[in-house]
Amino acid sequence: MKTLPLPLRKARVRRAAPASSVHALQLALDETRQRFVATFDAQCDFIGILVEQAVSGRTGPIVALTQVIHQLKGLAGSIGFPTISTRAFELEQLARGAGRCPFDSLRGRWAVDAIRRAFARDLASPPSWPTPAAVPTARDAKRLIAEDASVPTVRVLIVDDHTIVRCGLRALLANEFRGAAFGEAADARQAFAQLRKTQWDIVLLDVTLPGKSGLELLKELRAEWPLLPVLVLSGHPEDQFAVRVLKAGAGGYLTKESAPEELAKAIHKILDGGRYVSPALAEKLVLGAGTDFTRTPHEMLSDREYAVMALIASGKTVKEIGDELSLGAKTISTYRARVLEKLNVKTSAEVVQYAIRNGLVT
Amino acid sequence: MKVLVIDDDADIRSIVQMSLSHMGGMDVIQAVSGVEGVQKAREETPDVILLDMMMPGMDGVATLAVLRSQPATAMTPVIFLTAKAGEHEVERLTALGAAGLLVKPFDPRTLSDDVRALVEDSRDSVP
Repeated sequence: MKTLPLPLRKARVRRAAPASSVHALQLALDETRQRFVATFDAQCDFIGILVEQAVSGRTGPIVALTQVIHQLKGLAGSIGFPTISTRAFELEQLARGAGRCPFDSLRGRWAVDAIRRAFARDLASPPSWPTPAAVPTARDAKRLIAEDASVPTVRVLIVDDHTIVRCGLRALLANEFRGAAFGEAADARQAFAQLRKTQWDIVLLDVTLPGKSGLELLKELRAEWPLLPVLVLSGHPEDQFAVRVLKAGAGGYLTKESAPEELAKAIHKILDGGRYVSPALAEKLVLGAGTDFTRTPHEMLSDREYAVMALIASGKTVKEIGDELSLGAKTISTYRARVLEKLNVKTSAEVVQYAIRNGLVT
Repeated sequence: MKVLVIDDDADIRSIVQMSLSHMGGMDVIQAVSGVEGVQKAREETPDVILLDMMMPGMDGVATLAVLRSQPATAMTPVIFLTAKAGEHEVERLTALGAAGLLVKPFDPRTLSDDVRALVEDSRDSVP
């Protein structure tokens, strides 16, 4: 292919338009600005609704939001509201990003507020237009989002039934994680309400909650939000319970006796995509201490123990089980004790629960 | 100079119209979608087409492809109205046959100068 010499770029001479034309444009722009100002609140409300709907992750609202905000950006900037335009662009970037990751509702709400604030600011100053070079790029918008001090750096949901514990954790973490946002829940129901309402970066979960236990809640969380990291906090010593919690998908396990620095360390590690176990627990896990990290508790039952477990789970008494297996009641009681130990439960009722939860009985 | 503006946003269309007609003394025709744009481009044979990149239905790139495929509009310079794009994006769009890019938001006071300059550049580069 023949290459042609590049044409010399002509100097762009601004043609001076007649004063009457400038004036006519001015009038027309003023009219559009007035219309924009009059409908701005309603438009922000509409954008707010789309942001709320976008939380569900459905494509419809996200596409609508992207288009509406894209138009707002173009229009506001072109009629001389540069701050609104930049803020709208940030929200547009968030909405576009929602194709790859869940829509960040908290930041979305912040962005809508930022647009409203920008309006007040732009309205107070004379209209101005950015030079093409000063129009922000997608990268600028992302940087602005990241730099915006009003947007939290990390969002932590604290689930614990004790108010003082929640306050304490909050105070500790507010110090370590500057600009963090916190949410609190006292039980499973409140936790779910918070999780559905907005997006969190990490959940701190107490294992002993009233009603639904922390472990059950953890499993439900994992089922619904498999990527949401959970750090389990426990008053129990680090025993087999930690293993069960980690197996259930927790990002880490920490006893409430731990030092505050350890909590911060654990959160950092988990937010970075890792899992956290305390050095003491790691040692126990490595040394085995009767636990097998890769197997479920019921996989560690011997066949005989498993049979006894299944019969307990089906509601049979020790005597009935003895009859069925042609063994003495004393032998069955021994098996039962081993089953309880290996499943890390205390009563036959818990064995039943365990079996049902793990689909071992029908 | 006769300009066809294809944009789904009525406000943007009217600002472009005001800007080009008042400041640049241009004739402006509007179209609200890619489909209408292609039709008007054929009927009105504008000197240049300003084309919004992001439109529902047929977007800017698709519209450009249709315009290029039709003899009546194949040679008409097309300028994209779009968010600020990187070098890479500009290259991609010019490779598709666009005469240039204008960044949205734009300054209505200077838009007509920019349009004129891009049209002149594109004329120069056609051998």
